[in-house]
Amino acid sequence: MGILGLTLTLHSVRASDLFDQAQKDYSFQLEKYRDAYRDFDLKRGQYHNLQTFASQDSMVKAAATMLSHRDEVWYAYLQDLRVQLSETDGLQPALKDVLVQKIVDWEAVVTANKDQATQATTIEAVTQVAQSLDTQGVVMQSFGYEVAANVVWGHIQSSITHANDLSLQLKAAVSKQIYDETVKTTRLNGFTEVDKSLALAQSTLDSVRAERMQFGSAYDVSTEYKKVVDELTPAYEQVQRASTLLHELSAGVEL
Amino acid sequence: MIDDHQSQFAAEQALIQTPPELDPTLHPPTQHEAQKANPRKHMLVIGGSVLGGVVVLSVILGIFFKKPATVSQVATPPPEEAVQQLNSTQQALKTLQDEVDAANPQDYSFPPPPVDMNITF
Repeated sequence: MGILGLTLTLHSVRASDLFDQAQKDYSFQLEKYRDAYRDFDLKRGQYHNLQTFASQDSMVKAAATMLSHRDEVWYAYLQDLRVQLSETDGLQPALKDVLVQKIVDWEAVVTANKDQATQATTIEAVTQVAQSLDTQGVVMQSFGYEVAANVVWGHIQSSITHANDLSLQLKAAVSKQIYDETVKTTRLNGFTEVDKSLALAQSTLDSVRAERMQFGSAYDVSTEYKKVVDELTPAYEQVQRASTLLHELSAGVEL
Repeated sequence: MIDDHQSQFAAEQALIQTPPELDPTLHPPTQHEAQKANPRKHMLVIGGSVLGGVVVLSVILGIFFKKPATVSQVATPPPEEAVQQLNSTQQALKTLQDEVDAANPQDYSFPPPPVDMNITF
């Protein structure tokens, strides 16, 4: 599926289907890239063995195709990030806008690189195309982790909001004794671990955002964002417990 | 001896060629006689045939000349409220579960694409 086609399709289906579709497209593009890479690897080996103009030309063509597919994979990945952001309610709209704008910028970079790859006909040209995304690719990877950390964060925030709303609904539906007992058992009102976990993750997120330029490399930034995701695990476990207990509580309620 | 045989043969031929004498009372009944003999059964057969024909004809006509279903016969979609089977609390439970599922950091497997970013020629 072409880039334009995917974009149009993304606007024409329901949001809940968007993620599945984006992931399918990503997997499809990744498979095509792997095929192209195998072919390129084969042609590169033949070129190294034969050292002829014909084998070099064959390798250049295979490299251009492979690089083009590689950019398609990146584009599909960025589409996935965009869909994930759009389906995350717990994020501040301003933050979401910033992240979406970054996705748009990266899409432009990847698209331009793909255009160059399709036009490359010499070994110098494909080398240049390959190298142009070498460093930027690492930064894109870091950005992917940044989106991931924020998506997890947003879903946990949203889970807390929904859990609180639901507990209020159930409070109105069950006897005070049952509700108080449940709250006591689950510490539903407090979300103590959630608060601690979110505070820690928030601190790390702020640190990464504020000191992004001071990190030694994009790899370090990626590591910090992965740390944020790990720090959110206790918060996730707490909302998971709350969700389970709310399900159990609602099972005894005449809805 | 020969004469005896000849006379016996001639007698047998005469017997074969002579048609058997028919009993005038054993002729098959005419249609009129049959009707007179069992008119009720005949009427039942005719009636049954006509009725069967009418049924078959009705089925054929029904197949080939079926009228479009009237509005009342068409299954009308249930109202939107009926489609939304979950009430607000059940919907809230489902929404919460979806959010919790999506927030799982351990299952969060969406790393950057495993592509070679350091191509050498």
